[in-house]
Amino acid sequence: MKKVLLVEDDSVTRTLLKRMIEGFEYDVTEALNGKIAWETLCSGESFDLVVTDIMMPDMDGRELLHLMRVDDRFYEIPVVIVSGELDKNMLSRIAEEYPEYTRFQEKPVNKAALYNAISSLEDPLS
Amino acid sequence: MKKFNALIVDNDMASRMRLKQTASSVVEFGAVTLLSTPAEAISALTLSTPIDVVFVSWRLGPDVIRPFIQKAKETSQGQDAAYISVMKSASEGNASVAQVMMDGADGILCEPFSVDQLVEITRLSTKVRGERYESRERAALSLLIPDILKQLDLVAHIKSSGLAPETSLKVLRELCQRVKDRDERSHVIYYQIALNAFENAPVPHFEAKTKNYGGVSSRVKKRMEQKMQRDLSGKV
Repeated sequence: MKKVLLVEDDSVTRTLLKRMIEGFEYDVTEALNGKIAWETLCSGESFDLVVTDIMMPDMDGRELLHLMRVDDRFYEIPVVIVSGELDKNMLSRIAEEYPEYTRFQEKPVNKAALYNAISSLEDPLS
Repeated sequence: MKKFNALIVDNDMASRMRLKQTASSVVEFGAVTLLSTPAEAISALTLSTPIDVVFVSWRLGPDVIRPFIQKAKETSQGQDAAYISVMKSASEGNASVAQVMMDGADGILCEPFSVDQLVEITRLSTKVRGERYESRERAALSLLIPDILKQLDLVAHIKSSGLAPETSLKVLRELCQRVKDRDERSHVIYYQIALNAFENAPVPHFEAKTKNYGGVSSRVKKRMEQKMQRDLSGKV
């Protein structure tokens, strides 16, 4: 079973996303913010995909994505960014900075759209 | 010389005035505030004025003194104040003295008392108070400083890899502010713990594993070219 690291500070959204992703037959590991997610990645546990929020305490999604993209170990892990309406400025910056292996999904998340985003990342150039 | 700011909690006016006059006659004491009830004292201990010592009269009764000291130790100024129980006479038995100590008092002053006795017991009690304050600050800073070091490493790492950190820098500022907000007395403890933590801090392990983002990888670039060729040949 493929493994997903789900990064979301809001517990309700995190639970909903977890259920959705588990429905796609992924094994989900939860992290409450970017810093915990980063520590989880650095601990050596491997993941096939990261689904992350943008605005979070301690470390935001942009910083997490940046750290992943400049690190040989996590460089090619696909990332789906789920974000609210207010995060659009940050989203456009991320889209410019890290187009590779990255998809965006607006909140509230639609199950089919999330599935499509994840599927497209499994083979982004097919 | 640091002066002791004191609260006197006594429901007998003549008695509390006597203590205030004695305290005011020696240079060791600064502001001395008179209060007649524990409730007034609790209010005073929640204000921003530092209180070094609280004199609690035996006249309030043991059923009042014990909960008062417990509650007072939960207030901002009362948590590190020294509590001195003012007892009826030096002929009080050991059991009474033990009870007073169990009630949370740091020292005992027996009526009638001399100026020298007052100063001596205040010195001793505030010394106990200082040790209590120091051990609490030491514990708090020992937890806080390693967090600051870790956050500092993280911010440095993000910056050195080409991104201006926002949230991480904000978190670092908040952590540093917590040190800044501590009382001036904590600075010596801070320097001791900080120097020790810096000396023993490991070299950040992530530096060697990172690279600057240089666009798409060669593998992806090759696949993009292949896809483009497929698309082009499809159109033809």
